[in-house]
Amino acid sequence: MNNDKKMDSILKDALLSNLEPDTELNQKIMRQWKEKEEMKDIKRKGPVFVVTAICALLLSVTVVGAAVKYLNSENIAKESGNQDAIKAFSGENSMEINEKKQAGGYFFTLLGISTGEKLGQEGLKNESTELEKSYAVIAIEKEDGSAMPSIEDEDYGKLQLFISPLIQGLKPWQYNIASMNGGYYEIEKEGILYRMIECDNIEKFADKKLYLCISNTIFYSNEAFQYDEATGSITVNENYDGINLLFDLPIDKSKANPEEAETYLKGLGLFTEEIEDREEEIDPAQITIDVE
Amino acid sequence: MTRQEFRNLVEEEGKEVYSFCFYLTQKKEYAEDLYQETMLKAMEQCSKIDKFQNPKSFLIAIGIGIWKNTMRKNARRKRIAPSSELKEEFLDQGECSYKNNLEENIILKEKLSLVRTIVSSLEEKYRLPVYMFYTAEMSIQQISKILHIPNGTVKSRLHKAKAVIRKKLEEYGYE
Repeated sequence: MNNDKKMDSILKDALLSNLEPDTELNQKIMRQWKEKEEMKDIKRKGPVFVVTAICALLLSVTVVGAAVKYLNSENIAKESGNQDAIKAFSGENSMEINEKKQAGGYFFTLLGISTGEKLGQEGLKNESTELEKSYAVIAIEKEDGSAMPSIEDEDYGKLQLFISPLIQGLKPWQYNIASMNGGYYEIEKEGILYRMIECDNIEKFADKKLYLCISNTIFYSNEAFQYDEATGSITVNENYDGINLLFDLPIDKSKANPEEAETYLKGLGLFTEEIEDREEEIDPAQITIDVE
Repeated sequence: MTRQEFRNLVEEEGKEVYSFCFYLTQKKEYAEDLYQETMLKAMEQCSKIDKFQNPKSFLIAIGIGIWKNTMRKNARRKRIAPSSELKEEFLDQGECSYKNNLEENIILKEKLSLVRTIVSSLEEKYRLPVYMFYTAEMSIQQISKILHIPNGTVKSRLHKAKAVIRKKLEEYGYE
């Protein structure tokens, strides 16, 4: 065997191993696959328009006036065809917010939030037994003014966004839209992408600070946001290289219902295992071993 | 891709992808994170996986992309040398064919351990092809495609890596 072949053999013996991922790790990945598939079911892509709906929409925008650039939350709810959301945004619980933040070359505008009774199953599909749902509508536009891809475009979906309510005092990686029976609907209009999210009613937690997080991740990211175990507060990680925004959700504190909240959390029962806080990450590139 | 197809992908390719992640990150917990992120990213882009061609290449390419991004993000993090993390308990399973002689076995284990240490200290441009070739068992063409370098460059980097490893081994008294 020549030297090169010998070295090949040594390298194979040294680097070819029987290392395997733990069964639990693969199971965790499969669970996440399942969650993603469920989110896909909930997500209703594609405009289903009828001419009258478009006319009504255009009329409503015109009535509001040229200064209003965005469709409002109720318009988006109507676009979604979700009767529960439409009712929620047309009711007294609906709150227009119109707060804009910028990150990663995009503007994100929280247009409004609302909560309403869940009437039937024809809206966003889920298995929740909750009778009330909370909604939020966010407009997403490019900072340079170019149009966001429409849902028919190839580029649609390249910008992955995780948008979810978060609750002070509850570990955000455990309690977010994914665990709270949530989903979303998206539509592009005039170069602006609108996302309406839905999840179980969060008003019951109104005695705590409520947030809406946005990050360019598939799921909640511990890199994008930080959770203070002592205070329960959630903040953006200033060192995160990507989109990580937090909006405050100004829900009336009088709507809090701690007992109901506790019952709800127990009922979720999704996360019984504690996820260890990550230690400071280490740069693999900086790993140097002096073999001299 | 159906749930069963994704499960098959994880089961069929998971081992080599995980091994690759392990050697790349040099630490079990980082390997698990990288492996998980790789699989989740693959899940997100599952429409691009051609199961009849080479899903492993696709997964390894994703893993490298995530790892490089992580490195960029953590560029200011402190420098450490976690060589102790390459625990024998994880690594000696691949050496079971060398059990004829206790002394030889010990010497060989030390040598292989040194090889792993040397490889882990190589520059990235040499280290990546080595792990891709020997750990993930990818072809020169597949490595070339993922790293966006010509076949000849892949060969040359593997050759140089081997030369460095050989030299270091000789310095330590191994033939």
